Amino acid sequence: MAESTYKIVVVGSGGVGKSCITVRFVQGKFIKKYDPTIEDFYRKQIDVDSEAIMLDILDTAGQEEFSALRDSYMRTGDGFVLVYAVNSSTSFDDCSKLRSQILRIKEKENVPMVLVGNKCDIEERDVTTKEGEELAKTFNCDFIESSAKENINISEIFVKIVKKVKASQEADGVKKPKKKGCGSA
Amino acid sequence: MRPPIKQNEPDFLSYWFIQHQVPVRLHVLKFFDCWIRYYRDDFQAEDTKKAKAFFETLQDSYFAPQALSLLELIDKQLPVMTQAKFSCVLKCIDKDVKNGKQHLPEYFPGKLQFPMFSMYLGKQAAPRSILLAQIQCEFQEEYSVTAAERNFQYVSAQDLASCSIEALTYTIYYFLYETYRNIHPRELFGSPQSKPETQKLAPNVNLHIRRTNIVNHFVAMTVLTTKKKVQAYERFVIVAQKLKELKNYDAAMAVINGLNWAPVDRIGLSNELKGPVAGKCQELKNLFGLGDNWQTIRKEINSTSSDELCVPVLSICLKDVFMTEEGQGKFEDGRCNMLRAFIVWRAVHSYIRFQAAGFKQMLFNEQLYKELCEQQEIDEDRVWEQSFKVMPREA
Repeated sequence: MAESTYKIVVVGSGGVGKSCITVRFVQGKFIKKYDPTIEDFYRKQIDVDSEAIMLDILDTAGQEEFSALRDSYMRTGDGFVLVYAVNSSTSFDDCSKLRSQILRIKEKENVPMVLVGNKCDIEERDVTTKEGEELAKTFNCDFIESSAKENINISEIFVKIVKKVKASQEADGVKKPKKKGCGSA
Repeated sequence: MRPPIKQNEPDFLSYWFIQHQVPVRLHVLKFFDCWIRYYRDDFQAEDTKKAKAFFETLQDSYFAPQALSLLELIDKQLPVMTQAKFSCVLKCIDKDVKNGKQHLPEYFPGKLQFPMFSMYLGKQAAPRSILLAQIQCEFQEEYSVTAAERNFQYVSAQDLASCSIEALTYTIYYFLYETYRNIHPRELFGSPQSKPETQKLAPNVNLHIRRTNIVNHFVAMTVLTTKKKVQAYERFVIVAQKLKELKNYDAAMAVINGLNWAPVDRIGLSNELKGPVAGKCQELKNLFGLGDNWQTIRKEINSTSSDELCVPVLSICLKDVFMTEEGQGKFEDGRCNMLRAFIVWRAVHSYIRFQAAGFKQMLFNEQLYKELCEQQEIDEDRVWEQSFKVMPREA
């Protein structure tokens, strides 16, 4: 069966665990196949509402300082995973700035987005769950807390964002994104 | 090393000293010699102090000649470290060429430190690390120009037209090449960019990133502020193509990213390109795009010999190293994770392996080089402001 492809951009301040979320999601347990230089490393297929979806994860980790490159990531993405660490209020504050950058680049008032409070396994928090939920409300997006270390809610993040992208495209009257292979209905 | 068996027999002790202890100690001192000679930058002030103190204790011993030689080596090398300059010889084309003269600009860094053979990488080694940030500072102090005193003068349409494509290409080429050449492998490990002491840990990498951003900024602002925007855009596409042909992938990517930058791209200048340039533009955008994890560039770089002049893409190397270090533990089942070590080593090695290649003479625009060097910070809001002036934001 041919699948739709969505480009999901993972953004957030340095050190919040973006790369760990990406690696945990795309690699899972198969760590022996680990090689971030191969073409398919950042791709993974998931099923959402009985539909096969191919995700292309665009992770800015390690490249945050390259301003034009960061913009390219944002411009290319269909949906955004905005990550902060629950033990860093600075990273939480940075989310508003990043969201503004995304909206400016996309020239839209609303973009499919999920706010993620990572490192929820840590007991000493700087940002409460309620604060995260409230910020997500102001962003008009979904909220979820995760832990890449303990593998909590990692797949759920990507299922949520796929649903948001699909809903957004249906609302915009956009047809399904490009399909690979042939035989689509 | 095991202690002597017969510790109470003076004859045996002197035999043991000559036959066992001296050779081992000489090996250790030889190791120090190699370390200082090839890795002198690894000697921070405190380590140097400790090493000197240790060698001084040996001055009255059997190893006095070696100790003296090491002390001399440190003294000789230390000033070189602080005074290191760029090495390439460039030809200057500007007014002087028109007058039939060619000269090396006085401010231009004179002598280069040629790469040394590394003990662990063999022939394809990194050069000695040169504290480029410091040199950059010295260079700026010489001119006493700060960003606040002198606004960055973007090349106007007229200036851009007067600056040949070759000069533009080679100036951008060299601007990023000189920082690439001085990046030390140590600067690429352990994600120093995310640490507070990043400037100390990775001065050359930071300067290279800053310069890449400056090129993006320069390209974007030049296109946005010029009246003949399509022509300027076209010119930069040709420059990027030439940089790619010269195998400076980093500079080519910086130029393309400048053109691809959202404030420039939203204006839609690429749709107005005609002829072969339009095709080239699309080709370059695909090549440096995010789609296939940069497989095409990786293949081109991998197929290039280490003897050839080539500048790989720093952002790709940093991402590969970062994703490997963050994605895998140092140990697996209580053993050293060799896969992790190998992937990190491979990413770093494939980036630095061209540093030893010889540099050829290039035409060069002095004024543009100076302007690029003097640029201090990237103000993204200014670029967007300019973009909205050209094409107002949709309601």
